[in-house]
Amino acid sequence: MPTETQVGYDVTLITTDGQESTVRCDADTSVLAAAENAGLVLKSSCQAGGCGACSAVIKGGRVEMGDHDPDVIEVPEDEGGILLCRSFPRQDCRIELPYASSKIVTAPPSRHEAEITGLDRAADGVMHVTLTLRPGEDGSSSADFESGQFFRMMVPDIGVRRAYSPANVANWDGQLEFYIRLLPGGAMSDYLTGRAAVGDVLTVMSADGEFGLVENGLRPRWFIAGGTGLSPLLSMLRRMGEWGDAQPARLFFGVTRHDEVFAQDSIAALAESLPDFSAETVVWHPDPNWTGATGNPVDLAAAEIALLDEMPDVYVCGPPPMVDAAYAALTAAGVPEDQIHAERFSAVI
Amino acid sequence: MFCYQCEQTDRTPQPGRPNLLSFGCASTKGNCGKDATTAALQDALVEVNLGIGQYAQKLRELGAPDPRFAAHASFDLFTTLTNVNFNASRFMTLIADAVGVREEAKAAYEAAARAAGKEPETLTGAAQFVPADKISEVVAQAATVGVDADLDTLGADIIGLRNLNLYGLKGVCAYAHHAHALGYRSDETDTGIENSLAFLGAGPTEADALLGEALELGSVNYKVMAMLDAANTGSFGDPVPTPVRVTPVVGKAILVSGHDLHDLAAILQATAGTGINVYTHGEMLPAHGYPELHKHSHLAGNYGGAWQDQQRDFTAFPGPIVMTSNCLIEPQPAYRNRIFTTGPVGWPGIRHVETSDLSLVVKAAQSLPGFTTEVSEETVTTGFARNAVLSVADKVIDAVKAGDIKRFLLIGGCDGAAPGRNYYTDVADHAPDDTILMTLGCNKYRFNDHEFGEIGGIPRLLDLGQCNDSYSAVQIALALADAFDCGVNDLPLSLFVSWFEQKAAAVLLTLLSLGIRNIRLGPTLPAFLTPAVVDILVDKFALKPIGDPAEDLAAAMAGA
Repeated sequence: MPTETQVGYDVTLITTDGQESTVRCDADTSVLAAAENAGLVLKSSCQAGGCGACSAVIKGGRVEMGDHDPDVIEVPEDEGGILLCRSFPRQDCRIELPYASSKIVTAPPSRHEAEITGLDRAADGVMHVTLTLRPGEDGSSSADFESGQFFRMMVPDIGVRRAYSPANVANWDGQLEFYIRLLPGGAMSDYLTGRAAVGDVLTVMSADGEFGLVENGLRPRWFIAGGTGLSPLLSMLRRMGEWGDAQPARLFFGVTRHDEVFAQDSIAALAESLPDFSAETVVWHPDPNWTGATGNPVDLAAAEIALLDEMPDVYVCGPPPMVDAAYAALTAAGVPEDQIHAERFSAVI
Repeated sequence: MFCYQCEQTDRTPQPGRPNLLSFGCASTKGNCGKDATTAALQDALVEVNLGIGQYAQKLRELGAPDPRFAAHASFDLFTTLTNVNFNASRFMTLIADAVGVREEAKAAYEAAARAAGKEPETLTGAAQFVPADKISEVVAQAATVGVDADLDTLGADIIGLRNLNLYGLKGVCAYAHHAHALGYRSDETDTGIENSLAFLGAGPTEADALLGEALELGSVNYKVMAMLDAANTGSFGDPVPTPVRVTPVVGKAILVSGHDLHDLAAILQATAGTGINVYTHGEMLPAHGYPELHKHSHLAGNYGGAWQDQQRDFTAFPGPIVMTSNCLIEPQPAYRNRIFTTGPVGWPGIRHVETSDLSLVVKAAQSLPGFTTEVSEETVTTGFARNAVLSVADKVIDAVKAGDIKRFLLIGGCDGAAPGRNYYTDVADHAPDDTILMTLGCNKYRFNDHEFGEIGGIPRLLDLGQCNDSYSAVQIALALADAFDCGVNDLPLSLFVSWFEQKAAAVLLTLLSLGIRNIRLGPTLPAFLTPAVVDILVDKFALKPIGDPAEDLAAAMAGA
């Protein structure tokens, strides 16, 4: 992180509908954090420079960017593209946000205590974690979120935050179910594999994120998941079942190796609640024991879509290269870009 | 899309519009939030139900009536009212179901005809409409069955009169469904509904016939509202004047909105003994006057104002919300996961529950915080339905004869967000002290917390109930006319009616069918009433658009 003296700058944030808000931000605080401290919760996801959800464009002044993946910024850096989670001001700035003021949440995110009530390995490199929210100060213990959204949680003892999307649906039992990818040397991964135990209490922020079902969409819904990108898509499919949505649904779930396959029982259970549902789990590098489909889920889905008369809405979640490949393959197959809804999840150590 | 069924329809003059109708929502989304796809599917659903009515009418004529058909159409048409159901995927299911019911009606009619030794007729019009399988194709079909179909050949007046019938029928069906939900029905009301469906299904084109049928529909609605009155009072007792707490009490809470007393009763039963308090919202306020609902000690009070304030009220409410009928507007993120719909209501992405299983709503209430701060008690009073008012009829009549009561002002109907509705507040606030103000519907929220005092022990503000309780108002008027030995139009009674949706259209037709004159209607006249039709209504019934509140009040006090 850049280190400069604690100098404050005025950072003016401009939304697409022309609303301006100015927040005070010192040189060691990210614009994203300064905005949140000022009561403006801007769009973001990994908050580690790896996903691009907080992309914006600087139009005046200067920021210094901390560590980040330059490929995820929506606008090239030489045209002013920045990531707000990694932008530390060096002058007063004017920054354009790529969304309307209505998308800025003005309530500060609330924090909840959540107890680990389930912890088991779902597959090689995947941890299945269940949290149960404790009643908050207001007495509420509901797990309130839209399917597709994510929760940020603090890694105990370290104080860094990581974001994960639940695989279950909003409920009043306070239950949050996650499939978390384990990364060698990852802060959360080390905790989950080394120190975590049922009964531990984590701090969880309220739900965030724009990824979700287009509720009034009438087209068939196709879902393409890469690895633990299955989690938010499973939530959407479960929501469809619980809410009685009538749209036909298809799921393509891809992993690299056979021993990384998980959540097969949950996927099979979806067929009971969805009137028109089928799923395909596909392994990229199968071992001899794998009897299912091989290859990658993007190619499999795109090949089938190319044969359709009516283009479905497609929901994609996986690592950035997979999502990029999905956009290319799906548009080539005839899916209009505005019918592709994607979330990139990045591997943040 | 084209839709002009409610008061908030787009009234921006658009000379370039390739449509002879002056006003209406005609873009991709209506002012109510209904999108073009849903609007088209609703029109298609109505068309299939008109066909059900055509066969059901024929079946009844053969002496084999089947009450399922009027009941089915009542529910389906209710879903198409303003601010009821916005869920396009639900409409595809409803259309498919309605086609199945129409096939049953057709088969029953043909079997009955053959049993009677007659060759079944081939019905034309809506009976022949075959909805496509794909949504995009049904949407395309809506051009031929939509509310502005045949405009080019029939003209705006005929189309407007058709829609006066259609929208009135939607209101009739909504009231009928509320009664059906409580187990009440009658051959007379079923017949009226079937006849109106069949009339519209055949594609009427004569102005006189359309106007005559509209007034006949008003008579049908009078019977339907009598049935609903019987259903409500038969199920829950005669309303009695009841102070209703409008400030919350500490504890877990559920908010129940809409009009359906059956659903409220189910929620009260499901929460009995759980410690959860139940609050009414909007048009549910008069429920407190019914003894069999009021007896539940956990029916704690009323929360919030009229429907158009729901996004603010629901956001602040610390528990689940159940929407049992109109008016629903787009649920905000703050409460999307804790609002539920029942019966005909729907919104994409919002949970729909059956009142037979309210466990999820109860669980939500137990999980959510509820009210945690004690607030001092404030109340409003409701429950002045016909029996309550008529029980003091002698007192009222004496007060009129003594000159203590100069006039009754009925200020009733819907509230809405559009400007111009302050008129009703002004009329209430500036009405002379020797007037009695009678309210029904949700526009009472504009002034029901104002202090109006009493006349000889009779509160000056008498809340008769929901818009559904217009029957009660008519009964009071008829009883007073009887007591004074005069006609209703000769009573010292003035009507200031605020309309918003199609139930109000049905009530208006009822008032007209009873020959009631000098109704002041606002805040604007329905867009489907073309100038020529308005002229007829003004000529026959002295229907008046609202004007300046002070001038209107002065004119009303003078008997005009």
